[in-house]
Amino acid sequence: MSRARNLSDLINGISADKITSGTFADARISSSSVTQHASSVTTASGTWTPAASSGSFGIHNARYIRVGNLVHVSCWLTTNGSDPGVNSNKWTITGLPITSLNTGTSNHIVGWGSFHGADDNNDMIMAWVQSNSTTIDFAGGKSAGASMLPNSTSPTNFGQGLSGINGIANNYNVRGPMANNNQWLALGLSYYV
Amino acid sequence: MSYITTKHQYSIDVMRTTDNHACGFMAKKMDFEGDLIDSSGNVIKAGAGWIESDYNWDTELQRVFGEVNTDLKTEIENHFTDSRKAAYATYRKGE
Repeated sequence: MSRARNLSDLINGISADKITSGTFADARISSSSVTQHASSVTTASGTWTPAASSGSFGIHNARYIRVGNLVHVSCWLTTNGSDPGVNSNKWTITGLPITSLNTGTSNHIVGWGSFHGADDNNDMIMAWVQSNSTTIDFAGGKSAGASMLPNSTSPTNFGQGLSGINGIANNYNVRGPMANNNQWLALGLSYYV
Repeated sequence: MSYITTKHQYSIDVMRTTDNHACGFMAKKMDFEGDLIDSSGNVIKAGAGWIESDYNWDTELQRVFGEVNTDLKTEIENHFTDSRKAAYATYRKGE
């Protein structure tokens, strides 16, 4: 004999809206009842177009996936010999597919990731996204003496906890690989939206 | 081709509906020229600091989407008013 029983038989005479708490052990709830209370989750996936603030690269593959308030982007890039220049201009990648979460403070970091092969030692460098932005910032790499100070009491406007512009990647830091041909660069990064 | 736009305080997200190719555009270009320092950390040449410039939306849309949709361009230009661009520059500088 089946033990499944209709709840309405058990709570005979009680209006459903009177039941606001408690547990029904092993109760079977109709799918329509569940979906009525489930919040919709925004999802999206597609391609995007990363672009360097100075110099340029080829895009082999650049994709994004959004699930709710989290976006993950990835891209494989190839250098094309475009030299960003011998100067200390901040080097960034623009074109994130969706604007990052706005915390109300511009230097709040709302996403972290890594960029492989991009500094002049061909190392992995850190990548991050600040509040309310579609731009990716990078640490300057080992040769630039980049330093992150998570406990800093004087965050800069380049990202909370950074020691200052000296920790940020500039054109000079990335010109080693960028000025070469056919060098692979790989980026992976997740951020809040 | 049609596009879906989402307007934010200082940016606009654009997604092409046919292939979900997407790009978020900021209100204006904000570059930063830092100080040039030597290995000891001494400043050799002081940088210019923040450098602001307007985007050319014909160039940007062509680069990202391979076409310039006039309705989309107008929508972007209307969103990025002078006051919005100025507010974004202030925000980015942390002022």
